[in-house]
Amino acid sequence: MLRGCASLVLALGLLACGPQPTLPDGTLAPIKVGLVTSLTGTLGTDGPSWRDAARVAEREVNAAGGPIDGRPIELIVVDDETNPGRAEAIATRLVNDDEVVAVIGAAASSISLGLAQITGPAQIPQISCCSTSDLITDRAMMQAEGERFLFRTAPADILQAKVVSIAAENLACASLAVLHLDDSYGQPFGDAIVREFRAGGGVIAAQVPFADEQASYTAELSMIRDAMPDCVALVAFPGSAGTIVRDWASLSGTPDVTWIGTDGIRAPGFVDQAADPGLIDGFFGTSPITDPATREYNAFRDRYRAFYGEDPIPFSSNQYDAVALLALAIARAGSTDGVAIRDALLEVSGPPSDTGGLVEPGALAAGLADVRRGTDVDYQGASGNVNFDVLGNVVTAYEIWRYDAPGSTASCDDRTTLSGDRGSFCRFRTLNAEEIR
Amino acid sequence: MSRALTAALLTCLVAGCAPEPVRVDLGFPREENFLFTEQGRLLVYDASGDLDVCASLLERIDASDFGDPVIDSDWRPVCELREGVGFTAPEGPHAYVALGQDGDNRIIVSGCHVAEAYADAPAIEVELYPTADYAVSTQGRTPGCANAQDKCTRGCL
Repeated sequence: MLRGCASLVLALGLLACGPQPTLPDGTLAPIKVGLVTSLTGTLGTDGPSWRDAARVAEREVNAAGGPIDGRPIELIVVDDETNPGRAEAIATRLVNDDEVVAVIGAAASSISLGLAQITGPAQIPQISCCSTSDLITDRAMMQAEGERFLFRTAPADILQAKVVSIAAENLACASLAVLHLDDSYGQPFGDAIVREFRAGGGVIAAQVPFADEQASYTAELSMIRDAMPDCVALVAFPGSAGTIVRDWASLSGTPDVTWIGTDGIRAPGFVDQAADPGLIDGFFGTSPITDPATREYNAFRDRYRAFYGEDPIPFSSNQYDAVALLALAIARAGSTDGVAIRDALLEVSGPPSDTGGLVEPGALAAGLADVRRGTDVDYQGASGNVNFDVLGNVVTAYEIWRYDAPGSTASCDDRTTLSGDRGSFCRFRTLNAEEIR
Repeated sequence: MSRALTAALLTCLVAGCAPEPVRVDLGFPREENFLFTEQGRLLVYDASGDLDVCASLLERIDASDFGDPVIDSDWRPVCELREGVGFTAPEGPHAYVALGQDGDNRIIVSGCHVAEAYADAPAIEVELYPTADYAVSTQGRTPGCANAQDKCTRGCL
């Protein structure tokens, strides 16, 4: 009898009783998006924070019901190990096996370019938070407009090279040595610094490329020492930069130089890799301003803090913006078709029409509602206005920064203090886009 | 049909046709968000005509317009929602909206998820996200409890 009852209950339940699914299978399935970042390798100290920033945007979009048709975004996180050699395999897996509709990433320019070899022909939009190499612009210029699927929320290095030159001028560097990574980030960046500094009448004492993640840079640093420059421009990632400052400190006969680093090393990871904060006290550098005290940045920072209990690092806001823009673009496109999303990215990032509206971080639900009402929206990012041009680039303001070790008495009006008594980064000077162009 | 069998069938019918409860879980980004939240509320809206209804619902709720939910738990201590909420499942796609407010009745977390509830369906999770008032509410404060267990068993200072 019990078995009979159970069968009857099941039959009645299926035929007439409890609620049954009404939507076709998969209707509310997540929209898959690849997130390629460096959780290990030389950028591994910063990659987790960039992943976390993407998570904040993913969560915000999903808490608003997802970008389209009630479907949430699902970020598929892949560690590229800061290894350009992994890019093609990662992109192939994401596109062919995971069937992602877009890719967020990577951080290193060489890896972003490697991913784009696969995502571009597959017409999968790709947005990098952090890749600043001019090679990305060069590649876009060689493509027809319809072939361009790579965007970035960080500005190109050609502008930063000008800022390095301005910094060197401000710091009274008559001669400058340029020590740079030999990859697709460092080589064109180093070349651009040489060009800009010479154009301003400065003397290039030496230009020395180096490979990332070497145990020692004594040979390269000896060449710099022998050139006796006033200043050294260093284009590196935190891991190699840490080794370089330690090796420089242990090298004999070095001149008293002023260091000017770049965006790749303005990160807590650089301080950690240097091991002794005293070695880098007074170290200058340049970086796109990714943490201006704008309402948009503060809205992002407040959410990041609510999630993780600490402040975001440079380029975290660019990563948040990448995911936010993608979600708005999917909503605008009204589909997950790659070409439609690519075209919509240009629309939702750019200035709106007279009847349009602005969308800000922390208010993506309202932005998604606006898009669905047909409003022409313009996303104002946490990292800047993030208006994409036809090459997928954005323009932003820059800073000249200075690292101050714990106990430093150097004065500073705008200081970002690192946790764990690791000193601080001081915003020494701000340059807006018009000053740099 | 014997009287005994009729009674058994009726029993089966009553048991079998009882409304199917569905569990709705509230997903806080981290425990501290839960500790700052005093009250929670779950509202369920018909989404059969528009699966994209969440964003506009949250926009209306932000303006204190709760509309016409098919189910409304009303505000209740958030600890009562900690292990999820059992609801009678309405058929068809619905928007499940979850809200959390602080001691000053400010909504500090919110979220919406469109799902279908049906027999044997997985629990519905509504992911919560901090509103603009979250930072205002928590600025300079530390939670009065060390963890959720303390909050819900002993209460916070």
